[in-house]
Amino acid sequence: MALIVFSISWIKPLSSAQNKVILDKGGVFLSASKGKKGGSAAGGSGGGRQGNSSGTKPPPLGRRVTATPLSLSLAVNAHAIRKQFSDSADLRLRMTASPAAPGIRLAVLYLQGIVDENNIRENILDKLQSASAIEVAPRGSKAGDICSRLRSEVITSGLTESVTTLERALDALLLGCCLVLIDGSGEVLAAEASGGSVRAIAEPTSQTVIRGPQQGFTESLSTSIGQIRRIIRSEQLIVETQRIGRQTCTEVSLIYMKGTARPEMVDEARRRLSEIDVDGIVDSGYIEEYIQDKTFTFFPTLISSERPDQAAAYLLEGHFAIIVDGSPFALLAPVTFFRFFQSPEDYYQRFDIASFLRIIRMSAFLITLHLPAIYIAITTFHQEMMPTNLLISLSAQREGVPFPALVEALIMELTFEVLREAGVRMPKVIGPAISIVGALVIGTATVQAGLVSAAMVIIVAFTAISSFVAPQMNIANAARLMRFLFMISAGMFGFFGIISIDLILIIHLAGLHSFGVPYLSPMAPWIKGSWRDTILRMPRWSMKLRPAIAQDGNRKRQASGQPEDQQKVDQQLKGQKP
Amino acid sequence: MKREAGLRHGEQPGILSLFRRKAEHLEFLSHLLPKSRPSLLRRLQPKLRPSSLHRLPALLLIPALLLLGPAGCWDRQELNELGIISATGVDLTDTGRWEVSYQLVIPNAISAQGAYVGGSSSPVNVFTSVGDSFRGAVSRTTQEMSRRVYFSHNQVVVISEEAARRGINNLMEAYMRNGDSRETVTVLVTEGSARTILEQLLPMERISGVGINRLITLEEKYGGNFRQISMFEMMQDLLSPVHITAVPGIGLSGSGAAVDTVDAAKTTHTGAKVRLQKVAIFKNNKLAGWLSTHENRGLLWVTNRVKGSTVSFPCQGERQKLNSIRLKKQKTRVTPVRKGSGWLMKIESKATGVLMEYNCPGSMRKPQDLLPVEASIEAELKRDMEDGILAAQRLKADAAGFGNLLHLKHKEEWKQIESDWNERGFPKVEIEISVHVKLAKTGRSIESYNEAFEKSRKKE
Amino acid sequence: MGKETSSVSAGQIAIFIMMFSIGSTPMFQLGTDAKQDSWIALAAAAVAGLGMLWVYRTLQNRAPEEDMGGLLKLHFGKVIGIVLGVAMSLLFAYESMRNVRDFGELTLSTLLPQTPMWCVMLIITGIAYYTVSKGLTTFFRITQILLPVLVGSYGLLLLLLLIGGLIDPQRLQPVLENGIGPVLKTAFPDLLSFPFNQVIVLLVFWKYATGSKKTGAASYTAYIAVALFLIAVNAVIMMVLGPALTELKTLPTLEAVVLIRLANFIERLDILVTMLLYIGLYVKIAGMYFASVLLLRSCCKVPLKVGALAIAPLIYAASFLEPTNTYHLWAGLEMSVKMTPFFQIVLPLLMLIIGIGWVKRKAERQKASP
Repeated sequence: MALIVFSISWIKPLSSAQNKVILDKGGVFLSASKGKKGGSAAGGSGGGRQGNSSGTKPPPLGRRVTATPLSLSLAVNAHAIRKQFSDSADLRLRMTASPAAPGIRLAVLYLQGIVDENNIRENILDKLQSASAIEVAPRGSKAGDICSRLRSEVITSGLTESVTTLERALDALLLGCCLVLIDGSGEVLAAEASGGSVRAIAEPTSQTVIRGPQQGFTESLSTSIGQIRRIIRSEQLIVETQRIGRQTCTEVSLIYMKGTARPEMVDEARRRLSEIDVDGIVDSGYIEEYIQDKTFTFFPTLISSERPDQAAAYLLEGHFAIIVDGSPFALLAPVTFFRFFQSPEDYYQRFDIASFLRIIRMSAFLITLHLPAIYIAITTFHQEMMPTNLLISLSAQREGVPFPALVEALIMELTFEVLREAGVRMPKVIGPAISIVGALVIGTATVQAGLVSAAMVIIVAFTAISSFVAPQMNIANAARLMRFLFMISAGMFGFFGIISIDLILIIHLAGLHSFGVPYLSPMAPWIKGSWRDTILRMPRWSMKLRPAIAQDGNRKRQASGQPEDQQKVDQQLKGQKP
Repeated sequence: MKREAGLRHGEQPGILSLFRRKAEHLEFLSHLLPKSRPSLLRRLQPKLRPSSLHRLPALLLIPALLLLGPAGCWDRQELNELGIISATGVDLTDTGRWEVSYQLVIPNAISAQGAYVGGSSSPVNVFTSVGDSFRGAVSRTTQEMSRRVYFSHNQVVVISEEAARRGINNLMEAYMRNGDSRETVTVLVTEGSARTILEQLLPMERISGVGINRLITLEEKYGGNFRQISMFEMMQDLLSPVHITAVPGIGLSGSGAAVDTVDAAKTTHTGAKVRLQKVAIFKNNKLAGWLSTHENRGLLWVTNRVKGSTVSFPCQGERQKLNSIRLKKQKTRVTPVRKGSGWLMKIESKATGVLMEYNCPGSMRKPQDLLPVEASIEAELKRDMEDGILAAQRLKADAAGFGNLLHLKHKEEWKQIESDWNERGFPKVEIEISVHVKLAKTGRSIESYNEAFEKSRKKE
Repeated sequence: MGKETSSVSAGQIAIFIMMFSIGSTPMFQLGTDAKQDSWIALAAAAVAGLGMLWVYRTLQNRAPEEDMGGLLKLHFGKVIGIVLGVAMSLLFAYESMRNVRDFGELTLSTLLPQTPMWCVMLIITGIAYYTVSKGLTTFFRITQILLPVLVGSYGLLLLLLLIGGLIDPQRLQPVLENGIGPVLKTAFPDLLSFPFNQVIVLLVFWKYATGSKKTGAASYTAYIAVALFLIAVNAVIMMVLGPALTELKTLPTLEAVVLIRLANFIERLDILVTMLLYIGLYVKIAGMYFASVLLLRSCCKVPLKVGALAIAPLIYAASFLEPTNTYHLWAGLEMSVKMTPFFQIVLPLLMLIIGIGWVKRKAERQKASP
């Protein structure tokens, strides 16, 4: 019998039928996330490619190429596992025994940092040690039976599986399970026990608002998903998780609203995620680079957000979110160009200030792209455009400056970039001192020494300030890089150069897509009715339709707008008044 | 794109494998998509060609363009390579060649705020070049100047009388054809040498070219005696059917030394000042004669070009002009009427204004009281207009623009008389002027101070 | 951008018509032979152009799924159709080349006098090639983005001209001073071919807009709107400059803008004009280039990328054929306006007349049996 079991456990992994996926006996591998499975249908339409009905996908392909069966002896198994880990100090082994299996040695094995030791104590050790004796099973099936009975009657952990190969046992350990080794059995119980300390929910560090929720995502995937679940309490919210990364087995969740998000889009996202085969995923930035539509472009096609409220709002509109375990930045897609100038605060403040601020942001973006270039173009090619007095002032300023305007501009811009990068890494104690150095020395002294003109310093400073206005970091970075292109072309061809690069930029953006959505919608192609939430933000009661990203037929966001309802309410109140 | 999906451990991605993989996906996806959305599939599918080749044109173009940078940014001119010219003067040498003067601005001598009071060097420098043609003269500046002459900020062109009498058509041509000389420069004519005007420094102005421009702008807006005319408007006038234009004149007035050194500018009073005086009438591109300021004012009224003016007028029956009114809005309409073989021009003017100074007896409490005052003003204006037209008729130049009106309204008859309109037709034109002035406000007082004084004295 | 039917909406076609017809037309004062009645000449040509648009539309309706190449093949048979198709494709390429040359000449005379022309023309040809390589839907999106810029700038300029008091209706008078004769002589055929009949390129693009029912109505509306706009601009420029000066100058609109001086600091706006020129010419160049490449594809099955790569150097090299600016202007007046009416007027009319009835049935038969 043991031989049959033995051989079965050999054959099974090799006969990986369909798609190079090694299925385990039970068909469902361990899911380390605390059971956040999707709703009714299996992850939307077309998700059943691998045949998994729910839960996570197995660890990535090629991770394990062999399958060594476990031996029957506990000592051998324990030793084998320890040897694989080269006796890592955080691998803990605790021998134990249980009245439920009298005379059989048991051992509990776990990696200390990633398990919740309370959980292990309560659900496994306690239960083992205080279990009542079970009937002695008939001969021959003693060990196997013990294992399954322990699993079904004694251990009260979340997900408990039995594994038969060494590699599976290692995977289970690494994913935060606690192994229960049973002497005399070729099976090992893997009980879910992941935990360990994670960062508490705190304010988002990078995207702050004045009014609005002050929570940010954390590194723990389950907490993050929980934050979204707290906002969207609907069974239409689907969470599909898979593991990406050969060495890191990072959990990556794809979240969307079934019925609101377009199925083709979600399929495409799923497909792109499943195509990633890499050593490790450390941050959502890795995923972003792998799944973005076009690599050789300055412009991002996904938003990275640290705010659950923003993610939830996007989900409600029909976008999808990708959350990566270990990164507090969720990816939101598909996004268009105009979304990068919308901040969640726009929706919490009133519409007039929101519209005004959006216009300011877009103008600031244009300024940060064009201002140094325009200065260069005007002072070197088109001096007739300046008012005469300004021309004379600038002339006087530039008399002693040795460099041409283009070189001067490049020097100042690069200096500022260096300052900025230094500021990111500066310890907080030295910060103020260095900023004084930056301002005084570089700004004032260079002007007085005659190396650059004063106007240039003003231009660079204003450009830099404008670049901080964009709510999303990645679009500001795009502007930072493109600025140099503009400056160089302005230095060569003046306004002609600026307009040429502008045109090339527009052509490039018009041809860019983000998961099938044209980057410049809803301006081009013009989508009717979407002007209400693009550059301006019209009052909430007038935004009746979801953006065109959402499925056709499901675009109506709310009941008819506020004034009508208000009238009804007024009438009702009047009727009830004595 | 380095998606190495579907590879066995250790296998390197090849271009062909990219193809294969994507083709599989396409097939698969096409099953999934609803049949009604083939376009979405196309949007989603990645480009099916080796990724390196489709960037070839860009890869070739960009280095080519970048190499151009060091090779020469051909149009680049730095600010410190320019010699900014703020005023130009056109003279004639004894031998009949063009003598062009330039007022060059020296930026360093001008501090950022305020006038040049603190400076020790002159803010402008004037130099001259000579040539057979206008642009030929300009091209000679390269022999004298270390910077390139930059005309785009030229504010004013001063033409000397001699040059004007010779004919300015070549000047017009040079201005029209070139891109860097703006046609919106103000034009002035001077009786003496244009260069002298350029050499003057104006009080309160850093650059005298700008100052002179402001002078004439201000005068047009508030004084109503001169019209600021640009090169372009001159062209339009000269190309109009009557071929006549009127250009304000500028000169030095007052005795004493001219203010052409910085030291002279530092005193509290100036010797000879730059001043607008007289008007030059151009006929067929040549200077035909001068009109006085007073006559020009009348002509401005006739041609409907007054923007705002201050008119002095006498009390009824007197000669001394003790009163003033500031007229803000005016409109004149001229209607030509056939009279015999000649023409009668009916000129109707309307104006509105605010009283500024009133020294006549009489109260102004009732609306009827205003009528004699208005009549007085109207008479004054009428006299101005008559003087102006008569002066133009003496000069045999239709500065009043009657010929243009005839061309508009009676084109067939105009065709017959246009050839000698200025000499024959225009001097015979009769005029009938009617002015209507409305005294909108009397200012802050109703009666004259004199009146109030007399009244208080009578009480004693 | 797929093979046969990319989805272009009726609105995008309308916007394209507007941008394309505006092109660089307001820069040059057309019809100056009629002196101050040039706007009347333009109006007459616009009306005739509307008629031609109806002709084109009727032709297209016979086989909505086909473009110009297909229509030629249907009407004249395969061989002659392909010959004519290639000829038209070359004509469009020639027009594109003329515009590239225009662009070079204009940039050199206004913005960058010292820069060599090959550099400027290389840049614009490169940008046009980049556009074509991105595909048709992208091109229509670009025109959608550029339209507000263009309209806004023209509106601003007209407003400033108005506020500055530079507009003088008297310069338009006397109306019809020399009678209607000169007016009609200028209008036909010169003004008809350019700018109004250039919408013949639509015959190449219309097939991509079959998804929407309103394409025809949108086309007519856009045409009328842009015709009114062009007439208005023509009239305004004439009112600012007067007939004598307008005839004399190479770029009357630039002149008019130079004159704007408001509040002592809004002046010297000619950069705005050059930007408008740039955008207008770009749309024309890219549009013609696209039409040429698409026509090649439908006639001779040349794929898009190859066609684009082939025609680009053709355009660039050909733009050097004319040695001087005067030659270029003369060639435009003499040669193009003698050559283009054949393709723009005679050929479509011919197709219209000989193809009544049977072409539509043939097209449907062809569609039914691919």
